[in-house]
Amino acid sequence: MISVLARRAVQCGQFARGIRIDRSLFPSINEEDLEEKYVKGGGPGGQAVNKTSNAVFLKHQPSGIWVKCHDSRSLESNRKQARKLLLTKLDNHINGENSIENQVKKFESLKKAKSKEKTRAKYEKKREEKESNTDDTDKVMTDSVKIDTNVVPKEAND
Amino acid sequence: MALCRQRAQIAVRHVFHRNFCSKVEDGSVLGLLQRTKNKFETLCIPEPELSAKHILSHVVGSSQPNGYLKYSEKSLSEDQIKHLEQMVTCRIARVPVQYILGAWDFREISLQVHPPVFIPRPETEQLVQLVLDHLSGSSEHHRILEVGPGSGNICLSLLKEGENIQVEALERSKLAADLTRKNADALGLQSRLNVIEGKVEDYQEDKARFDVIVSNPPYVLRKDLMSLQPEISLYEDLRALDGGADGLEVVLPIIKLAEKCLKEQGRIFLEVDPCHPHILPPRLKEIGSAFHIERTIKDFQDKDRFIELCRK
Repeated sequence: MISVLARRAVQCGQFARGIRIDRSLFPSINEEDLEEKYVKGGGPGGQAVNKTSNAVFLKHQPSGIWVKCHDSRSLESNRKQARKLLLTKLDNHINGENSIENQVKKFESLKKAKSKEKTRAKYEKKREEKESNTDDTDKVMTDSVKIDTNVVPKEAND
Repeated sequence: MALCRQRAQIAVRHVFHRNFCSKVEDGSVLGLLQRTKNKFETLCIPEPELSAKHILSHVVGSSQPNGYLKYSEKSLSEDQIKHLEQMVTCRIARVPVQYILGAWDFREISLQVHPPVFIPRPETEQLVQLVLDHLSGSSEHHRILEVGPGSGNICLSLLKEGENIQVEALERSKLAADLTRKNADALGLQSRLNVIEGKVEDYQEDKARFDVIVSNPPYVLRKDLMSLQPEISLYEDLRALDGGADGLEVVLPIIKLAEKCLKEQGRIFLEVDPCHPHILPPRLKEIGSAFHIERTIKDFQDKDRFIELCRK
């Protein structure tokens, strides 16, 4: 049950960004294939012990992939998060560039490149506009101060 | 005796202050983490590294155990260092980390905790799951009785995660009852929770109103009470742990109470000591109880920890 919920969470998490992701290859895991370990407490446990370590170590036996999670102070939260992390790691391992995480990364790097290109084109256009404005200004300036170098001033000959 | 303890405490504070603040120019988070960890190790404080991490993360404003990592390159302010110092002193006095932070997480909720109210244990997170699994699939309204809510971890988790649930919580300690109410208000769950102050034996309920009775009652055997770590024996209310010689001093009255107030098909879910699934059945037979243990469930340390009871 907890693995099913984790799988759905990872799959749907990408959908919220409004991009088309191929989820058909996303793996699923069975609880029976998982080895889960916790920090060992001594003695009778339960009420008689106060420990703050709720880290979870989770291993997927068939693939050998494992994760460790201590993001939260709650054990159950760490168990859920460990399964999400494991699913993502398994997806990346099995499906390579077609994993959900890598598809999103690819989309985001394309988006970034596109935005960069857009900015570059915009800057280029502005630069060209500025240059053409400067050419026109030079032409106007030259017309107004045109000197006829063939005419000698009259005073020089008296 | 008290004067000796006081003098020892003052001495510890002086030694700590001298050693801790001598390199105050290295106020970086990672530097302070290392020195705090070393200090705890030297003084044989349990979970030295993790205690330091929890405290550092709290100082930088994070509730995650590794929250300090986001600020690893930064330096703490003077106020933050002072706050850190105070918390470290408390930990050296074996105050539980949860009380030092004033809050702890339990499943999907965060709860305020303060001494001497019992701190939620991670095993109990599984008890909540057992009740939720039992109720899931049914769209009916469910009434639950919790005995001994403490900080409210069980009842508030059930209200947060379950559907169509109302809880009545019976608590003998006024401090714990107030804390449960405070946490309920903070989580916006107060409308579906009624906290009553009183003991199990005095609870008057003749009508079979409840679908489920759930409890993490005091179940520690008296012999184990003697060897508790200082974090527990010095700061937590031992009435929340002491189950008497056989650990069943509160468990049995809860099962007796169920005879009157639990519906015919109702279930009791209890967290217990690992010996109880074995020693409880003959005791139930002895007192002629209508209930028996339907199943025993192991905790994440593979110990018999939970029992589900129903009418025979």
